Amino acid sequence: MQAMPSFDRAPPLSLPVRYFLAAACWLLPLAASLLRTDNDYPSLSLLLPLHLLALGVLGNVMLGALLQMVAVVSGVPCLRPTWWRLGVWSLWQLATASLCWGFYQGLAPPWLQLASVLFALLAAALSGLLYGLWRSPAADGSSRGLRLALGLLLLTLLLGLSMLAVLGWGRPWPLPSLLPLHRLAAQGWVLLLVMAVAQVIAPMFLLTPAYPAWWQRHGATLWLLALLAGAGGLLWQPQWPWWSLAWLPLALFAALSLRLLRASRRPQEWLLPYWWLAFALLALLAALLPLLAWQGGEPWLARALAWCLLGGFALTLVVGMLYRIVPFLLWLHLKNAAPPRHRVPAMHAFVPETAARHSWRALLLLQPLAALWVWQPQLGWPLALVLLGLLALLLRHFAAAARQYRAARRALPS
Amino acid sequence: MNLTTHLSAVHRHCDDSFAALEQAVRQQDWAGADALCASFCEEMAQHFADEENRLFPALEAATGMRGGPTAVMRYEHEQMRELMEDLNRDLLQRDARGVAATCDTLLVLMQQHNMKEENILYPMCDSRIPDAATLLQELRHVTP
Repeated sequence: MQAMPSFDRAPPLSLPVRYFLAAACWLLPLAASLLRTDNDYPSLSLLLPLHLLALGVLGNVMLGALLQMVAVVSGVPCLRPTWWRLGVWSLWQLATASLCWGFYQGLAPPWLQLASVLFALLAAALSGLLYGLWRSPAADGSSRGLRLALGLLLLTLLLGLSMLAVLGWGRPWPLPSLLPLHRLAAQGWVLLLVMAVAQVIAPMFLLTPAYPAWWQRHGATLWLLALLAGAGGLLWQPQWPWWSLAWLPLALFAALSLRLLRASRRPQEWLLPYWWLAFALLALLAALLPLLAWQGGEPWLARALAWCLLGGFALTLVVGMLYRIVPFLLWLHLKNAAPPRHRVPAMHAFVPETAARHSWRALLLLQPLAALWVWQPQLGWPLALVLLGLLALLLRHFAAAARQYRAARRALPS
Repeated sequence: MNLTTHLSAVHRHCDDSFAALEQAVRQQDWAGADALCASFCEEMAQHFADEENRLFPALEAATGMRGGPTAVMRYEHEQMRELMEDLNRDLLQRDARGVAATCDTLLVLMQQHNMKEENILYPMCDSRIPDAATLLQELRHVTP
């Protein structure tokens, strides 16, 4: 039976904000980890920054945004906000810290064992959210995409847990088969989430034409089928060129999105350059994937693909989203607290447009420095420095927004 | 055509008017902006009235719910009406920065509201309101 939508039970302001703040703070260890990347693959010195970025930075923002989005897009109520704000949030930070510390300590079993227990608890919590999403009455493309994305996040966690069972608990499971499947599921979750979100955000907030109807109906399924076929191929034949299956939906998504962005009717919109940069990097990823056929084991290619997907495409999108969602949430909560017809400051008063444009420039600067790191991993320090600069900008802008919000709250008539 | 496709098309029509208004303000075409703002606000007011006076009561009668989703939609309509008043005030003062800031806030509020309606509320109206086809005919007479 389907549930009724519960728009009146959206998460409290502190819930997503807590995840967003944590994400910004994870940029610090991420920057530090880039200082010690070596030129091997697979290598713990690459796995460490990858997981700090995927779980610490992107995972926190995506989870915070997902909790907010399911309430708006799919009408799923936030039933236990304190549990999500304190319990799940703490579990996520501790699990990420344990895993990364375990990597830093050269796969130290106690830390990996602790991480496996914490991630298992998180998987249980996320299963509850997936159940709520499944019961939602929303049947649109983005809600379907959110369900699939969350399902793939759970699969990624389960595959990661299986590897932790091998590395931490000594289970005799085949690590060489689990690793590419875990990587494939992680890529699937990131792309599916972005596909689901882009279908809504691009036409509504950037005023682009809608994605073509066939893509809205079948895009997520096409990507999922490509992943399943790739996974099946990997199990059957480990040298299977899985990328050839993943290439088509990924390249299509990049091409379609870039074409839509050209037709945006808000050329003045500051979010637009974020999307241009992100999808240009996704197109670069699609262009690099075929190189796997000739340069499969090359460490530089592994670093380049990882950066394009996580540090380039996903990080650019989530930073842009933060500048859009945080001032709106502050405005909305202020408006709800104000008496009827009381004029509250517009969103720009919390985070001005110039702030968002400064951070975009930092993201733009990151890309050539990331290319330098891909080419010469011992030259990770310029990239680390700009990441710290991005962290400083985010903290400065959002601290100013919080101060503005508190002042406006105090100024409300009682 | 059903209620979802028709009412979603009304949303897109309002988006078009909104984009034209922003464009006029950006080009400092104040006379054009005045006219576009008036037509945008009129379309929005008509759409809100259709929903509040026809669609929501029909859904409430069909499902038996009184508060919940429709109450939240009415509340958000009220917030948008207030922002449109602010927009008119900024426009009257020829305050381009004020108009841009209010437009930005209005756009986000409007689109997250549309998302809720298009993804959940309208499909629910199509499936739950017994004479949805008649209601659709009535709404098509008064909206584009």
